[in-house]
Amino acid sequence: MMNERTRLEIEIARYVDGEMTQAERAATEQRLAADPELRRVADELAALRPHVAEAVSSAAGSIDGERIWRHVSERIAARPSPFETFLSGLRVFLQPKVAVAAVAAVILIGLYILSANLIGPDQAIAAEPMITDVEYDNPDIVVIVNEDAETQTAVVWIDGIDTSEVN
Amino acid sequence: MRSLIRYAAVVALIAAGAALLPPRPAWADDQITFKVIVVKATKDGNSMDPSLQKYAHLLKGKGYTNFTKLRSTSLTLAKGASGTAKIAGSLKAVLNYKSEINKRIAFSCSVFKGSARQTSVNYSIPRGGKAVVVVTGTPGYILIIKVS
Repeated sequence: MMNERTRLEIEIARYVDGEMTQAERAATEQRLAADPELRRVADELAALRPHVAEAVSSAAGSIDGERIWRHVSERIAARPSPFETFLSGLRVFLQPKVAVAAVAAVILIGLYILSANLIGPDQAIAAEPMITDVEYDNPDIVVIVNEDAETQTAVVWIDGIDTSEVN
Repeated sequence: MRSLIRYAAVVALIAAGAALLPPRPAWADDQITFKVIVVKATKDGNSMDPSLQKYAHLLKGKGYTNFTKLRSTSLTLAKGASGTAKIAGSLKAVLNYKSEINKRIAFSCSVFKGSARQTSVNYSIPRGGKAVVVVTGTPGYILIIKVS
């Protein structure tokens, strides 16, 4: 609960700040005239008032809300669009050093692949016949050929050679 | 930005190093190695040499059930050269390396009985491919020719 002293100090502050009605001001002046201690407090407060006002004004003046908002607005407006971001990245990539390094990498990797013979037989090569010709010297033999392109295997069956005597 | 340049530079250096590796010597392209595995196949018994298991799918047929590996011969041949792989007794196979065109090896495999040529088959097989020659009979002989 607010004590009497505090209440009086608030009253004096309102008096010094000129916030009282005419009747309140008259009543307070009567009280100050009758109480020297209260008069002294009121005088001290009145003496401090200009300094306090100046400090508050100075602090408020250092925060320029309008300037801050203008800065934020400019930053928002200056933010690049996704397309501009893409173009920016492209410009980085198209810088001579990066472009030369990338082209060199592609060319050299291609050369490496070719020189290392890493390119395996393609489907066209695998699909070509693996048995191109069969010559017969013994009229009694029969040669049956079979090819499996998937396993790249050519199988030849030679019937008609007597193998019993070669054991 | 800096990391992008570094990445591209590293890739370029690696590729450059790989590309500058010494090329295969010319003679290496003029020689081919044929590995010839000779297998005896019979219809009595039911076994297969463990080393032939990976060729099992090539050996089946003509009723053979028993497979014994007789020998393995490696022939490194220059272009135009011939090499002989013994099959059994007087039976032999003569391989002749002819050329390599478009990564396919052209060669012939002639089967001789004594000095008499029985037949000759001309091949054009991609590197890594296989030619299988089955001389049927009792017993049968199977040649697995790997081209590398």
